[in-house]
Amino acid sequence: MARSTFARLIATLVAFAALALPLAAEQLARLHVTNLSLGADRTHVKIGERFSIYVRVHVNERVDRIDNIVLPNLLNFNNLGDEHTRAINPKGTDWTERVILEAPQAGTFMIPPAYFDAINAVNGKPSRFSSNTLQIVVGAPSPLDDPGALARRVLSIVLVVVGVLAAIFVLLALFVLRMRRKPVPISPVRPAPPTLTVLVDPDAALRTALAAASRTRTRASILILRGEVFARAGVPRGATTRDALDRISADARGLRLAVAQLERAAFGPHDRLEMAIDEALAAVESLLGRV
Amino acid sequence: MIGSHTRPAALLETLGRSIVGQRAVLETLVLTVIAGGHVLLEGAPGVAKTLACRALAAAIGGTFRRIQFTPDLLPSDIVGTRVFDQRTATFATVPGPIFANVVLADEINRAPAKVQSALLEGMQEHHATIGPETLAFPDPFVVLATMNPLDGDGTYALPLAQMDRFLAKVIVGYPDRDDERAIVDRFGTSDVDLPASVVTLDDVRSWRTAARAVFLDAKLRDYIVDIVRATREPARLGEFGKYIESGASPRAAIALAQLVRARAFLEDRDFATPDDVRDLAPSVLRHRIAYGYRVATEGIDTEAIVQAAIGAVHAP
Repeated sequence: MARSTFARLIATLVAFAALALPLAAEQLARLHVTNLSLGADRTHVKIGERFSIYVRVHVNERVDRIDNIVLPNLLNFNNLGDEHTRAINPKGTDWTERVILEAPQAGTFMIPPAYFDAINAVNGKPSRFSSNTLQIVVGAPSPLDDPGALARRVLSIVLVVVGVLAAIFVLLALFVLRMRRKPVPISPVRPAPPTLTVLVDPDAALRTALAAASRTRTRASILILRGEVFARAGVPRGATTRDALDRISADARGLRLAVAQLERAAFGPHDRLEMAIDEALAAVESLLGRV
Repeated sequence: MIGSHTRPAALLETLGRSIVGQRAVLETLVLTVIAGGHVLLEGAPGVAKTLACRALAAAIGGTFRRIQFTPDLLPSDIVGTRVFDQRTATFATVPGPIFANVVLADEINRAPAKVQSALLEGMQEHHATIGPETLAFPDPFVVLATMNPLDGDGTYALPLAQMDRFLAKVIVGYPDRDDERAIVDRFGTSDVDLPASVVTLDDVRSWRTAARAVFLDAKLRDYIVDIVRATREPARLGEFGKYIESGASPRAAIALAQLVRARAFLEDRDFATPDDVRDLAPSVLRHRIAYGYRVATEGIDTEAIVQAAIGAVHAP
């Protein structure tokens, strides 16, 4: 009896833990973070040499893992692998991430900080903990380090020089051949046929919209007309009347009046719609009449 | 168009003479009074939040009460209580400071949840029950609540559901250099003078009715709804979408429509415009969106997230 009760209790606890774990996984851990540092076994390397960088974290709590460490951007290097270690001691947990890298190009590279998010146990607030940055200097290998590379480099230089000389020779030969050709008689040039110049009315779309609005006298047609007036003012789609008025100079009174009247016709009350449409159409007609 | 009552622009001008700068803050206060709502003000100490509230109460000729919220406050300190009168051997109802036209709830986030609830319930219901009596609040009734964003220790964060009760939230920033020089000149040598009453409580009540009659076109209604819905569709907000846990409720759309109508009324227009919607949307949305913890850890400016939601919708 006691055994079955105990077994049921254990099963209940396990079920509860299974339910709680996914919830806990989505929450930040509450930690006393006392160290987060970024270091390397060597900060001066040569092209092709392997080296390691370390992200070291110390927290006062005993934890199984610190999963959410975001490693820095290492695109300037070839990533040859990574590993992590954990050490628990009376002072807490030491977590170390080691990344093995190889430098493919020379230069001085600044590795940005590694970071992770946790609830700061000191003040209870969600915080981002960031490490220091790390500078790695990659030098070019000395020719004496690799005799084969030296020979390949010399050969490539020779090939480039030969290629340039060959190109120059070919160009000279072509030039000389051209100079020795007999002159070709020039045929009379016929005059080109006259081209037609098509005059485009810059206000064609506006006139079309005005004609449609005058015919239908609906808010929808007024909105289209408003869009064409905005386009004339250089205002993009989705802009407001204030955007349009900010773009239009104070001297362009006709255009400013048309914008204001169109707003009233587009958004004004129904009982004054007809008068608003009349005023808006008149303002746009006046605007076009001055062109 | 407005009628025979004093125009609300007069109230705004009067407040502008009492408070240096802060034009946008004063406008939002006046709009909220017109719309019949309540305002949440957030800003550092010393930026004239309390002065603005007192000036507003004086300018509309209403009663003003200030409640300083502290951790030891009780609900009865807000709504009132019953006291035993030994002379008459009966209980008498003593209404609390919430029974005023303009109530300044100072540092509302310093009081525990039950005290916050007592205030917010009153804001919603416009009455309070003390013992056997239910007493109505005066009309108009405006609550201006302040929060200090700097001192986080010992505060009780207002839940989103309660922040939703405020029509608008205004950020009261520091004045610019010219304004600060004017402040020193004006207040450094004399006591603060509150403005005389320029409008009456009847005016304010008539404004509320008149503002509701301002025309809101269907396209603007859709614009308002689409902006609010954009806060619930993080995929539309680009890189900012990942910072939103939950967007604004439909109450935000109602609030924005109310404020937009109030703005048109303030400017002597009988219709609202897309500019009204775009200008007022931030004050309606900023306290109605729940953000994830990454906003704090990555130092993201929440105003940029609100602007992204507004920018995700084309104006009609």
